[in-house]
Amino acid sequence: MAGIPKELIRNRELTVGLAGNPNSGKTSLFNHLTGGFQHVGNYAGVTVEKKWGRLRGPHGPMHIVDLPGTYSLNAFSEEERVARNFLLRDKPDVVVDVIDASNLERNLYLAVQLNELEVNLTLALNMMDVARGEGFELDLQRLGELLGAPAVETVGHDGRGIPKLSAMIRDAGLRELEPRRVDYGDELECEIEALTEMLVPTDDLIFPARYAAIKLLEEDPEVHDAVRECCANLEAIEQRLEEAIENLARYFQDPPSILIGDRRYGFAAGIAREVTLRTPRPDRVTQSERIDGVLTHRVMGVPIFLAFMFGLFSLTFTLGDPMMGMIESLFNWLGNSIDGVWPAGRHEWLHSLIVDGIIGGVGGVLVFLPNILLLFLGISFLEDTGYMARAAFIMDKLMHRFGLHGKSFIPMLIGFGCTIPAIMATRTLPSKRDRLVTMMILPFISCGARLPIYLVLIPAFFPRGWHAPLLLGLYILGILLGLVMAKILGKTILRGEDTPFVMELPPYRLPTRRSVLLHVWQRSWMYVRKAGTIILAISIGLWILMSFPALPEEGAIPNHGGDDSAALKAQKLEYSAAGRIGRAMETLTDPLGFDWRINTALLGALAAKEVFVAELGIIFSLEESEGESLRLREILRRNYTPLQGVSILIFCLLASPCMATFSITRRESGRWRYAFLQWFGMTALAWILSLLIFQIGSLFIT
Amino acid sequence: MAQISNLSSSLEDYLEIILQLVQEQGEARAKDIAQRKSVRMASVTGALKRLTAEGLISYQARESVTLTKAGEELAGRILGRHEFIARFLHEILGVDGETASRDACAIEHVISLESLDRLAGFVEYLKLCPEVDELLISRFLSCYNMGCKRVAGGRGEKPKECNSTCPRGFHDRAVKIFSRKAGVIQLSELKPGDRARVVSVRGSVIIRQRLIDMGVLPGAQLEMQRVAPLGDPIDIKLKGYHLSLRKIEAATISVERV
Repeated sequence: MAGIPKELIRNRELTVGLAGNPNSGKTSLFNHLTGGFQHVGNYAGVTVEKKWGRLRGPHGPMHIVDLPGTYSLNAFSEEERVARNFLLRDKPDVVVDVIDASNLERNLYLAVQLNELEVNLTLALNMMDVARGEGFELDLQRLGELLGAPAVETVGHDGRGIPKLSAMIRDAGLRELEPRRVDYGDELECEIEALTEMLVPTDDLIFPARYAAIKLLEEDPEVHDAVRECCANLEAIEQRLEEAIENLARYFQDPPSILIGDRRYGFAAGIAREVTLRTPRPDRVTQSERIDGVLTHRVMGVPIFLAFMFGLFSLTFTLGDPMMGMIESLFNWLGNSIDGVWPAGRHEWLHSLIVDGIIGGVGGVLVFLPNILLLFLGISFLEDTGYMARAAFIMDKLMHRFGLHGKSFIPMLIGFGCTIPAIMATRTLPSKRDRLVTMMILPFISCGARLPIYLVLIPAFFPRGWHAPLLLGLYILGILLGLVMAKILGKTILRGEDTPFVMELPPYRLPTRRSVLLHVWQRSWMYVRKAGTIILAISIGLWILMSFPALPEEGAIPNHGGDDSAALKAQKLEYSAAGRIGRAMETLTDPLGFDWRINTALLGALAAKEVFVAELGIIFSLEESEGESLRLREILRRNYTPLQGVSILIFCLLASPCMATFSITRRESGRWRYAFLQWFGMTALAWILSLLIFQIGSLFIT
Repeated sequence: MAQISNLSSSLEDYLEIILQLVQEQGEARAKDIAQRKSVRMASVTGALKRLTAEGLISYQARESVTLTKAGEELAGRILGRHEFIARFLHEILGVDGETASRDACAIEHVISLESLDRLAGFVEYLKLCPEVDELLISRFLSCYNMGCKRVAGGRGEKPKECNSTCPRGFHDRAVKIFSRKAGVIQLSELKPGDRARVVSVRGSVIIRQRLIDMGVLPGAQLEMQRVAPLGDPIDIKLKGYHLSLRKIEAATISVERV
């Protein structure tokens, strides 16, 4: 522990890890320490975030890493693994454990484990104001003595205690405090000591020996693997371990993990008792419990939940749409301006690349930014108040039936708007498996971009009375297929033990403006940056496909400036790689009832679904898709049968999630394979369903 | 099922009492027998007649009862059996003397010779080494009677322990297993507002570890708060916070109402 020379501490940039229970106010403390200047990034290969930022000021530069909120440090959950690996591998100079002062016992359970990891610990008793209001009074001096770590009280939302905390971090290396060790009782201690002794001679074990010994007894798979790799006397250790676990389990009639947890909790409870000078009446009904009495009420709970969700949904799309229009016109204006100043006939391809490819493609994605901002504003608010946990509580039964988690409901709902923010919203899911399953099925939910397709195709082939039921039917078909797929995925490639739904229902709190806005900012910026860059590349790629090879001059009507006639555009498209691919695809899509024109339009829909309609417009030599949708419908009616229409509709609903979905799935799942699986799986399913519908339908309609 | 005698349990009792009286007072009079067994004289007379017919005693009206040689031997074995069972209950298991004697009276007549022999052999075995006796019996008695109230992290001094070899949780788990058996239910069976204490936590490693980390440990007090509107996850309060878990997970937790 202590022992870093004084000068080094004064001059070096310290690395500080911020650990703590979820809902302990860790993030707001982090924001205060770093002044909101922070960088959000993925932690090597896994999807759980580790945020970092820098602290400047009188106590010198510090590198602060915000670890995922955890209750414990086991290898059974993703967050805990990330946190533990950071503590062990990156060896931060100081670890600040953020403790919710009004829930001391459970929070100290983590502190005790941090001590066992032999980190240089500092305690921040957060939300002291709330705790006092509830009637708690704590002896911080004594707490510091018992845990061998200085304790300071902080208030996350207004920054009280932050200067003192940073001064303490700075002095952390100078301490000589010895933490009191948990006494696990004679029988356990005997085994722990024996295993520790066996582990000590190996120096390349990343875990402290005593910690490793305890974790071996708790049957922690990661520690076991580490021991397996490092220790020469592995056989002896494993034999001893096996016997120990068996003997202890027989003697205590409970597995050692329960005993260890019990002793650790007992220890934490003992400390909590000793440092608590005053506690509120135990049978008091808190404000939060009264709110829960209404919001999770047996009868009222579901309607209230639906009302909230409806509110969130309409906020996103009614308030977002005008802003969307503004961004759209901004990009149109940008494109037109370039058109205006571009020297006619010079570097035509570059002009087209910038206006059609880049501005069109990136603009098409950024246009969703207002929706995303609003959506995350709503979600952050619900999350920070603590309602999100209740939403999961209310919806879990329904979701669990399909192998999903209660929290999967929110992303699915968001998916009606746009799949991109929906996939990002899966970050609120606790386990990686639940997250993956939810992510994989989100494109089944018809997003807003698919609506224009339905709106053009359904009226083109069906009488008025059928419109609404068909539209609703498509949405429902998507949902049902999604749920069934979730069930199938959960039983096959994403098979795994049902993740426990053991979730804290944190007390309701009024969120601070600062933390909500920071949340919104972080998430939206990630959307702009990451989705933006990948979209840019894909847009360019698609543009190339649609523009080359260029139509030979002699076969074309001479053009002036950038003003190609619609007929020429269609001609060019047919000649381009995209058009040729469309033709080549006919062998595959012929049984579905598609011709090359539909194929080429589908190719365009790869980038974004709504492009499908625009592409059809171009192919059928129309000026504008929107203004001319009536004519387009007529042309479609003349060219295709209603059965082909249904086949196209089903295919558009299911096939090839857009490129933005593909890239965000890759990003959020951390693996290419899931993005590919999603893309190809859905396309294959779409092909099969369309095939069945078209072929079986053809038997009846001749 | 082999027994010591083919007498009815009532006649076995008479024989036992006669032997006790002879040993205590030198003679066994019908009046004393009736008093000790709390029956009328007429019943005693009938029983004595049957025992005489069996050739176990000799009895003349108004005279005291004497045991024949066969009678003395059988009575000795019956009394020995009673005393062995009563002592086992009292000295080894710690049942109080009166209950031990009353239970012995009931057990002695129905227990098979085989079980009795095994039990007696087991007790002899325990006597082989005094440490075993010391370790097993006296510790068992102290653990059972006192329980273990371990207080961790006490101020300054070493935590108070009743007996360090007494497993923590043993008292909660092992004391009054039968007299409280009816009270142990699954957590999922509690009704909103019920308070309970955790008895045991089972379930897969992952679920168990998660529950342990959240403080759901044997001995922990909790209160059932509510069931979700759709009827599945439940909301419990423990250690001052609210925890929700599915009923299927709650079913891995055994609790007793408090």
